[in-house]
Amino acid sequence: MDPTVVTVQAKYLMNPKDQGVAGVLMVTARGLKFTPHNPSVSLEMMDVDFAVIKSHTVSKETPKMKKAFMKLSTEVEDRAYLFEFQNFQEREMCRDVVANALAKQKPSSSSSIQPPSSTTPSRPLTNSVQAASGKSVSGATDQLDLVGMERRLKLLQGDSALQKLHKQLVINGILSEHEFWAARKNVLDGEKAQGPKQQTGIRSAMLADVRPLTDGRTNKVTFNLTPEIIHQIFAEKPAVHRAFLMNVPSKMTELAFWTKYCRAEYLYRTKNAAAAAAEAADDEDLAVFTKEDDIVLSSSRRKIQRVDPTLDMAADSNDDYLSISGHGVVRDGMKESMEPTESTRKHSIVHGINRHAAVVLDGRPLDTELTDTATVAHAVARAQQMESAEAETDTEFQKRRMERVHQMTEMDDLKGPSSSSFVPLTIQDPRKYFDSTIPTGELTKTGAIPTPRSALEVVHGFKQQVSGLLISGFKDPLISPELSYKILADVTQTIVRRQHTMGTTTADRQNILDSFPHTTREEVMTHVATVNELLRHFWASYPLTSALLVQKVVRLKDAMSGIYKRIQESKEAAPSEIRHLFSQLLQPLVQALDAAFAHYDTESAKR
Amino acid sequence: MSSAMSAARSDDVSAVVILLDVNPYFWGTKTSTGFTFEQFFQHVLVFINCILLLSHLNQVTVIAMGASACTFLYDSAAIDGTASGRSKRDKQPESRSTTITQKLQEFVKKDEAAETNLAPVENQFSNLSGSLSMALCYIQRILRKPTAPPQPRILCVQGFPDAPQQYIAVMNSIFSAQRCSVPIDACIVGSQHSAFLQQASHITGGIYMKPPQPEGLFQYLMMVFATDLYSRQFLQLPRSAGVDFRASCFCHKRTIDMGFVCSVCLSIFCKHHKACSTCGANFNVKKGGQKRKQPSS
Repeated sequence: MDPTVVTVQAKYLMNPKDQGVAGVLMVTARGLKFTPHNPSVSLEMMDVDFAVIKSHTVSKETPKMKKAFMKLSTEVEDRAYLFEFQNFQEREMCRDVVANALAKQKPSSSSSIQPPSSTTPSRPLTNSVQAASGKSVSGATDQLDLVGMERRLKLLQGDSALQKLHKQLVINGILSEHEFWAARKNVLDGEKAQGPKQQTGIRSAMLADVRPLTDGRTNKVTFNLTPEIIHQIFAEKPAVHRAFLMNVPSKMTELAFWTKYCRAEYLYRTKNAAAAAAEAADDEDLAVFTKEDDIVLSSSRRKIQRVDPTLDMAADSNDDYLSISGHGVVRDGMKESMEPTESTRKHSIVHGINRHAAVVLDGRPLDTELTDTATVAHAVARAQQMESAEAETDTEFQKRRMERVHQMTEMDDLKGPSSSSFVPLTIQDPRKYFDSTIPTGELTKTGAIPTPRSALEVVHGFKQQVSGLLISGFKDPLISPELSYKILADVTQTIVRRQHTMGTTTADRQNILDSFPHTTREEVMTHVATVNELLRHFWASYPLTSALLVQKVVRLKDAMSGIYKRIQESKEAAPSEIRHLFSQLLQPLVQALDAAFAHYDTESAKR
Repeated sequence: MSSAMSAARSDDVSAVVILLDVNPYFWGTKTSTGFTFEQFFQHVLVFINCILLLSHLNQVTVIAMGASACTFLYDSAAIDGTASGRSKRDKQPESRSTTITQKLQEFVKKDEAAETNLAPVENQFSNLSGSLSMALCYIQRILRKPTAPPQPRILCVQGFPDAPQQYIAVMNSIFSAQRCSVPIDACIVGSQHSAFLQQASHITGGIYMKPPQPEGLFQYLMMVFATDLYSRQFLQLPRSAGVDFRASCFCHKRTIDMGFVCSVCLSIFCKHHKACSTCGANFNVKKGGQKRKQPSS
């Protein structure tokens, strides 16, 4: 038999505005059953298995909210069940059972958990909740579905301090799970938004591993092409891609296509120009692979046209080693002229590297899985289409070009004075600012400001003293030894006392925590974290509006007393040399706890 | 202290600029401790001699702060240059103390002659801002000499309480001192603490002290203020517990704890103004009005 059975009075509503059909709702570990009181109503007994239920939401418990709703959504066409309970306690009980059941059954379900794809089912859920419920269910509903649990677990695993706090508070029953995470909603949402942390990039091997395995004994060369490599080939060599789209699967099979391609590559690699030319003459398709990639050529031509006309390229024309065969070095007194035929490729490694770099910088256009070559080809075609559609139109480009040309050819001398974007500092009345001897108001009272009458006497007295300086000479001894010894002792005392209370140097003062032994430091941190958490929940519970809050406050107060005692004990137990600093550190905590206790006492005395 | 500053302080040579408070309105009145100006001056003279004895490379400069003017009383670097010339002529070279005392007497006489009528109550403050500026300019000058003394510092011996109307000028000097890494030490012989000098020593990394027994001033000076900057790294010196960070308002020159600050030039006012008197920024924000100030033609 099911151990946990909750039976409550509830109403089943078709929509939030509905009056509802009164009945009895029985929640078991397997599912829930609803039996209406009045059998004459069209609605029969409802028996919903938890396997069907995807998630549940509840309405928030606020003073304004009188109705306690719970909504269960299923996978079946967004069919949802909305129940209204008589009070919030019953709703809580049901909610707990439902949550446990859902959590228990979820690991058995086979849905793959990927954070980006799993947020999509929960988002329409939120939308439907908000749309359907309108004002009855407030926006901050609690979704205890699998995704939420996943996120919480991940968060707990990532942060050990949080885990310790969670263990201390929630497992010991002081705070409920719901309250604990309610305060950390923003952290959870941050987790959700992150998604996959990193995208895998494009390999920069540049088809190096398309290097074939040559078998010494037999005359066979094996090429190994994976969908990743095929994707890269299509991205870097648009002519090959075009040929693929044209030929496969209409004219030849994929295998044949790749055989031809690999053959061409192999011949090119072995620098067998003559053989390549011969083969190309025979086979039209092979010729495609051996010739230049004309798509790349046309695009590079277009790019050259877009170069800034103000760039001075004349200086670099002599440095173009690539186009001059033999790198400009004259051999045997004559210029080598090896006219490359049209059929062979004259692009060098540099071109290949540049093309590869351009592809890498464009980013990885595909997100879908690379399973089949055909899909790869189509995906690359789609991406290229999008790219060309996004490219700026010609007119706008021309306009920007003209602007740049204007900018470069402007002469600074002919420009008018520019209005600066900031306002230079002008002090309106420098005298008032700088002159210190002409005050304009009253003064603070000082110790001895004599009246004008006695000022005269004062000045006279001073002048007499000054004129008598040389005559009187020095006193011998200048300062009595007892007095100087006393002063010496006093100053030393002051220094030592200050050192004792505040640390030897300023550097030490800042690293008080580090000067503690490790265990003490850990203790301090845990105490601080726990007390802060408890106090936060404590102060958030006031004003006490419901019995639930009262219970919560009582629980929190007991926990706080426990912590208080523990803090006192640890203060006693601290090693003697750091006891003073230790108790000073914990002093604000103790004060905060005292304030909380006082508040609790006054509040309970009032009630 | 930044590491750059401590790297430069590798020797225990000091160049001290002493600012002496010779305000007649302070020294003329009988203080509760009976510490007369005579005693004070003697202590300071012996202290100067002691500093010059600590190391032959030490330099001392003395500036006197009057109520309305300041003047150089003594400069050990300048005297040394001409000492040899003078000793040939005079049978008895003048002692340092005599020189300083004579100069002080001249200064006081000149000061008195300049004021035909006594200064009103508001002007009886010591001219701290003027003397600080003089000291800083002097330090800048000697730092540019070929034989620049390392690590100059300023020691300010003040009796009269702060002048709130000098707040702006004093803060400017303090920041310039911080910029040139010149610590400002402060020794208060009066009865009240000085907020300006507390801030000065806090910002520049100097020492602030108010001796509880001014008759033993010499002992305090030797214990605390004779230490050079290099030795301060490993000597334990009395640090003040807290700093009084009160400012004076710019409009009435009163000391205030809370006030209004102009967001453009950071001037402080004690009550709300429509426009800042220092930079002219307009504080009235009209509805839908311009957010940025247009330069006034």
